[in-house]
Amino acid sequence: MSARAMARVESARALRHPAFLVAVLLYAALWAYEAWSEGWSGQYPVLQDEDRYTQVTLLLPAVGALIGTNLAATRMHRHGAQPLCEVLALPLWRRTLAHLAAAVPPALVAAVLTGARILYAATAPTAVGSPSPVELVTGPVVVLLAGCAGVALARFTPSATAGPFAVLFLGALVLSSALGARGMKWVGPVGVESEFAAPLPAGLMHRPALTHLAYLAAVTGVLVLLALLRSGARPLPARAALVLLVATAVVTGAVQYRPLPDDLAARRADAERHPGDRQRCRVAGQVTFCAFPEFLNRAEDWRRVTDGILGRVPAAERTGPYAVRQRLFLAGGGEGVSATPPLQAWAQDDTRHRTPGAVTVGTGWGTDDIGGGEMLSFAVRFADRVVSGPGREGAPTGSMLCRARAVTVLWLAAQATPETADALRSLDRRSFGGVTLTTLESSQALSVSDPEVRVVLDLLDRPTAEVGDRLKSSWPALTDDRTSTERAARLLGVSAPANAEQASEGTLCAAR
Amino acid sequence: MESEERSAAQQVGLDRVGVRYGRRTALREVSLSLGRGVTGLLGPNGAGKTTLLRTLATASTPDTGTLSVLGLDPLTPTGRQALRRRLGYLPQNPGLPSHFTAYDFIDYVGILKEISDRQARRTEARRVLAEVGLTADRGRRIRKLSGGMRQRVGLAAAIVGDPELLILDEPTVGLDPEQRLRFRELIAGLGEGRTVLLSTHQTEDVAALCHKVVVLDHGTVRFQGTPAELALLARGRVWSSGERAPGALAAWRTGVGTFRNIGVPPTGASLVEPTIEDGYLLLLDGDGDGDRNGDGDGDRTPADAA
Repeated sequence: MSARAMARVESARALRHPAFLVAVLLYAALWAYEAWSEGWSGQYPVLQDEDRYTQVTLLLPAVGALIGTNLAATRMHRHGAQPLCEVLALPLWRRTLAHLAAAVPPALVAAVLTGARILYAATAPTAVGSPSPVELVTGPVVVLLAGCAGVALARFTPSATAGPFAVLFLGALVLSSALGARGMKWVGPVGVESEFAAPLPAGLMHRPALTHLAYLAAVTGVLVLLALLRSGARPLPARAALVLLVATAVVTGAVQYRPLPDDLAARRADAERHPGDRQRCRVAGQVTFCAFPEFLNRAEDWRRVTDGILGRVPAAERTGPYAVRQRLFLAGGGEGVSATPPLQAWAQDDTRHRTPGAVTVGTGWGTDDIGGGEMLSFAVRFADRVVSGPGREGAPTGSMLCRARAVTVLWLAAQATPETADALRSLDRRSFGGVTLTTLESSQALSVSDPEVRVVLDLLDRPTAEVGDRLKSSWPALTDDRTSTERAARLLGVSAPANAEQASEGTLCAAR
Repeated sequence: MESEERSAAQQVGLDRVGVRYGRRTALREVSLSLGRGVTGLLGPNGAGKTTLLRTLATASTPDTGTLSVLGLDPLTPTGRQALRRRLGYLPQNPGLPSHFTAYDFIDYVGILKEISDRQARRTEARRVLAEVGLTADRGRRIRKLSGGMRQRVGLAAAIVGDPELLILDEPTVGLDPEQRLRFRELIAGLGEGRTVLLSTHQTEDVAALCHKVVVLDHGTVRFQGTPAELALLARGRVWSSGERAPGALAAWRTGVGTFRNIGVPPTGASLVEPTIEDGYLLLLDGDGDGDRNGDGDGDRTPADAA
C-alpha cells in the first residue's frame, strides 16, 4: 500500500518534472512546426509509414522520462537526505518499485501523443493506408523503457551525471540505426528506415515490428529486475526471471535480423512485375486510375493533376481514354527484385488489364524537397502521354524532352496545380543546367534543358488562361519537337534565352 | 518478575558491541542499557557517537556483540524491519530535498514510514509540523527556510509516526541560542513517554534535558549515569582563585574576573560547586587516557564518582 502511495506521488512528480515537460513541449513545438510548414493540403500521409514516424519524435519524451526518473530515484542521495531516509520502514526494493511504476504515466502521455498524431494524420483528407497497432505501441514502450532505465541507472550509480550519459548512449544507438551501421538497426529503441524509400503496401513491408516490441519489452523487464535486485528484492525468483528475460531479449534481438522471407520476396516480385493483379481501378472522366487498394484514395490527388492538364488541351486532342497505374520498383530499396524496371512485364500487365500505355505513378506523393519529385514527375509523364497522342502506347520512351515539345509538356505539367508549379520552381532552384524528373526512384527519368525550363518559368508568371489559349491555338506546332524553343516561346507570348537552340544540339530527344 | 520489570524498563541494550571501519575501531565492546526518557550522549569528535547512533538506528551493522532495541534484534532482517517502523532518526546535518515544500517532504517521509492512508498521513504531517512550530511555513520550499527551520523539518521527519525510540545526532548544531532553547523545549516534550537518545557537544543541553548521560571516548563508554553524577566526578576538583593555578588541568577567567580551575586543588583552595561540564572535562582530560580507575575499561560509574 505504501509503495502504491509512493508511486502516486512519484508519478505526479514525474509528469511535472521539468525535463519531461520541456521534452513534451519540444515535441509539441516540432509537431506544430511540421504541420504549419507543410499545411494540411501539403501532407500526403501514408499511415503504414506514419505509424513508425511517431516513434522517432517520441524519443524526446523518452529522454525527458529517463532524466526525470533518474533524478527522482537519486533525489535523496543527491540532497544528502539518504542518512535520514535509509532507515525509514519502506524497504528499498519497494521504493524502487514505486519509482519504476512512476515511469508508466509518461509512457501513457506518450501513448496519448501517439494517438493524437496518428489521428491527425489519418483524418487528413489525403491520408491513405492503415497504421500498425504494434508500431504505434512501440513509441510509448520506448518511453517506458527509458523511464525504467533511469531508475535502474540510479540503483547502480546515484550520480546526477549518469542520466545525461545514458541519453548520449541512447542517441548513439538511434544514430547508428539511422546511419545504417551494420547490425545496429534494431539494437536501439527505434529501427530507422531510409527516408528516401517509397512507401509500400502494408502486406509487402518487412519490419519486424512485433519482434522488436517483444525485444523492447524484454529489455524493459531486464532493467526492472536489475533495479529491483540491486535494491534487495527477493533474489531467487527475481534472478530466475532475469535470466529468462535476458534470454528473451537476446533471442528476440537476433530474430529481428531475420532476412526477407521467401514468400514475401515472391509476393514483392509479383507485385512489382504484375501490379494489375493486386490493384483496383477507379474511372474518373477519361482517366482510369489503378492502385493498390489501400492507396486507391490517392486517385483523387492524381485526378487533380490530370484534370489540370487535360483542361488545357484542345478538346479534339484529348484522345483518351487514358490510364494511370501505380507501380513499385524496389531495386533502389536494397530488397528489390529487378535491377532495372521490368518495362516489358509492365506493358504486358497493362494490356492484360486493358489499360495499355498506363502512365506510371509511384506510391509516394508530394512536393517536398525529399520526396517531392513525385507530383511533378507524374504530371510531366502524364502531360507527355497526352501530348504524344494516340497510337504511342507502349512505345519506347527516351529520357530527354526537347524544344517546343519540352516547353509544352513541362508547362502543362507545372500549371496543373499550384503545388506542381511550386515544385518546378523549387526543383529549378536545386538544379543546374535543366531539370530531371524521376519516377520510381530514378528508374524512369525525363530531363528538360535549361532554356526550355526558363521559358516555362516565364510562362508560369503569366496568366494561365492566356497561355492556355495560345497553346490551344498553336497546338500542332507546339507539340512538334521539330519546332524550335525560340519559336515556341514566341507563339506562347514570351521570349526564349539566346542560347536556346544550342542547348538542344547533340542531345538525344525522347523518340516520338 | 524483577527480570520482566527490568526488561520493560530497558528500551535499548547493547552488549559488547564493536564496530570497525577497516583498521580503525569506531566502537570497542560497548555495553549500555537505556530506559525511557532523554539520554544524552557526550563525547569529543571521533569518539564514536555517530557510529553508535547509526548502529542503533539500523543504518549500520556492528561487527561484534548483540543489541536489543525495543525488544527487537536489529541484526535480523525481520527485527530490523520491525524496529524501523518504531524509531525516528535525525542524523547529523541531514540534507533535505530543497525543492520540496516542508509539508511535501514530511508527507513523503510519512509514505516511507508506511503510513499509506492519505488522510492519516496528511493529519500526521500537520501534527508534526505544528509540533516543531512550522505550521505557518509548511508551504515554503525547504531551500527558502532558515537553518533552524530546516533543522526543525528534520526533527519533524524524525517524529513522524510517533516513534517509541528517537535518535537525534547533534540536533542543536548551528542553531542560535533562541533556536536551541526552542529545541530543548521540543525534545523535553518528546522525551515524555518515549526513549530519546541525544548526541551533543553541548553539556548545557544535557544538563537541561537529560535524565541520563553517557560519555563516549575513543569508542568506549567512559561514563554512564545521571548528569548530577557526572558533575559529582568533579566534586572537590574545581576551585576559584585570583590567578591561574599552575597545576590545573584546565583554567579560565570567568565573567567576574576570577579563575575557575579544574584539577587537584591546592590546600586551602576555595572549592566551588562543579557542573557536568567540569565532570566531563575532568573525565576526558584528567588523566590522559581517561581511565581514572586504572581498571582498563575506562567506564566510570556513579559509584566510582561517589
